[in-house]
Amino acid sequence: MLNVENLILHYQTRRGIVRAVDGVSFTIVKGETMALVGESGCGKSSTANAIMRLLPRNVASFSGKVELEGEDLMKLQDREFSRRIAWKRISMVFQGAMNSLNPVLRVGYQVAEPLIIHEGFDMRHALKKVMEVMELVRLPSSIVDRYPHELSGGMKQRVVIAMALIMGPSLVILDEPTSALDVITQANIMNTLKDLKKSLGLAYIFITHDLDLASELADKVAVMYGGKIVELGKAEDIFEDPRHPYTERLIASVPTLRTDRKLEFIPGAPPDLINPPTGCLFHPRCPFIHEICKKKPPAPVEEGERRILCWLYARS
Amino acid sequence: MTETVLSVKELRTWFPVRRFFGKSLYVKAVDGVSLNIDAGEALAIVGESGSGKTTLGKTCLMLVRPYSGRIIYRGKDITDLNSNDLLWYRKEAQIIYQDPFSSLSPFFTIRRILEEPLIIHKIASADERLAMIERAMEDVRLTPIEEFSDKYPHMLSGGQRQRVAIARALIMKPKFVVADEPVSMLDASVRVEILYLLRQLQEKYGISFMYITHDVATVKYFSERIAIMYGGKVVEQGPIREVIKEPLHPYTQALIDAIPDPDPKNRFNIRKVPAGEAPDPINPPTGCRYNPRCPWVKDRCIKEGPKLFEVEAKREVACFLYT
Repeated sequence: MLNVENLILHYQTRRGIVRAVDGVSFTIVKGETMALVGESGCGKSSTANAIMRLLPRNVASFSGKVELEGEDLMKLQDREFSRRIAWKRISMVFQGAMNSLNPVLRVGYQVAEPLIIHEGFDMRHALKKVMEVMELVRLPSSIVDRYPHELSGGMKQRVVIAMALIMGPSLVILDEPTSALDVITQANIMNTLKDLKKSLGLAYIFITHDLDLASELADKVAVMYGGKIVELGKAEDIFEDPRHPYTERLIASVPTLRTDRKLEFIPGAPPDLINPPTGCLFHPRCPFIHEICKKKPPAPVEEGERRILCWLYARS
Repeated sequence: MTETVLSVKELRTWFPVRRFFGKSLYVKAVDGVSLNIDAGEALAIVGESGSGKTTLGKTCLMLVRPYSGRIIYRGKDITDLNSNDLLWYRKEAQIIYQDPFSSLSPFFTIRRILEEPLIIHKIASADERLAMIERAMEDVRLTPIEEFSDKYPHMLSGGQRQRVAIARALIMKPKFVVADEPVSMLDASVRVEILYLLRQLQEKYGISFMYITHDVATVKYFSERIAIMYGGKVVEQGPIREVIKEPLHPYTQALIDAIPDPDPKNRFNIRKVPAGEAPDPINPPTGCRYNPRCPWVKDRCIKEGPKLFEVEAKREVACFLYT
């Protein structure tokens, strides 16, 4: 359904060019969830913004292929993209969006807005549609008459999810959709997202830094490091048998509640994307470093449904 | 017998908000908490946002004055001391904040940040201070020292900044430290490193710690005992492993059920979690604070609030299910 190939998004800053997204490729089939995980600054949100074409002004280069159901979105003009694609076919739940609801408008109107402005619905029909969507996200229909300050954090987050669903997209990008919420509220929202996935056949790109949370939703996991996907594979493969040294360490660093194990950590810091290290970006922190890792960036190696970016797995 | 370093009794921290027809209204952030921390012990305070855990930590340090209740530090009641009489306590008790981006002055070098508390408390001569700073930096592994001491906070990564914050707290050789979410702003790969470092220093210097967090999963890597807070009260207290294995209070049960462990099979399951939200701290529900969300609620829970009591050795719970 979605096919992203060699996506590049670089920003221009005073210090130099930031290689935020540097050759990202993946595919998502209908109804599938891919988790995009990695530490802060690894390019997860930039990847999402690039797909949604929400670009800041300081873009240095933006290229690659983004195909949605066979149509190359990169060829579309901005106007056409926002008219036909954005929100209708791909929508997004932004990080912290629940805090950017308009405080002086009733939430029902805020959710209905695109229907009224772009689709020419009248208020009554639009609100009827809104109530249907509110039911999907498990909010009472009376909520349409409320103002954001009357709602709790969890309810606001559901409103934001409703906004993403109102135009009936088949792919929803979720950028840290539960990051500011309490664990019990978070679990409730994750339950709703799981239900929606089943009942509407939605595909998700689920962006998170939290691996336990990723396992709640992901069929497939892409691990990003320094603007690149270093490992991509089925959730079972990534969680149970990680191959890339970074993935392996990242999983070993997650505290678990029910099992006891010694945690590991990754010494050093994530790479500077303005002056990235030569060769493999992970080499300064990697325990299995070879000479070649410092000199040449590795090429992706495919193993069945898995793809790894590491010299350890390169076939000679 | 080990010495009790900090003991709080029926502590209430209420903040006045406004008057409503002549009646004072308060945000009851901490509402009747009693607990003890022994010498060299780490107690974890776990709760969701708004449960009063941070306010409890700040009140224990007398950074916020309690509304009622007693705070006893090493046998001495410090509740009513004024700020001049508290100077000695400021040396012995320290805090590490959650956000290393806003808790370090951007205008000071790392050396100056670490020297500041020594200057304020008029400790040691300039040369001795330098030696203490170097030792503190070695302790938190900000080495080589020359490389870091003249830098400013913005030149450091989050993990390095948090090391500076830890060094600043420990340079006073405190006996009691409140660590308020010390790793929650850090990336997963460095979080564990900082947690282990804190643990190591805690053991090395025999410091009593109050580790405040919302993340139950990190607790067992840092402390032995856990106290769960809900709506300004402690609802359950006990050894961490036992509480995780067999939570007694319905809220603790829900909290533990809600936390995923990384397992790809999670995506096929729906978690059993209660609906509803945390109680309003101004108008908390009558009786047990958890009664509107509790699946086992009885009439009694709405009429009276349960007190924390011992169910079995070392395990305390505030719930009528166990009376």
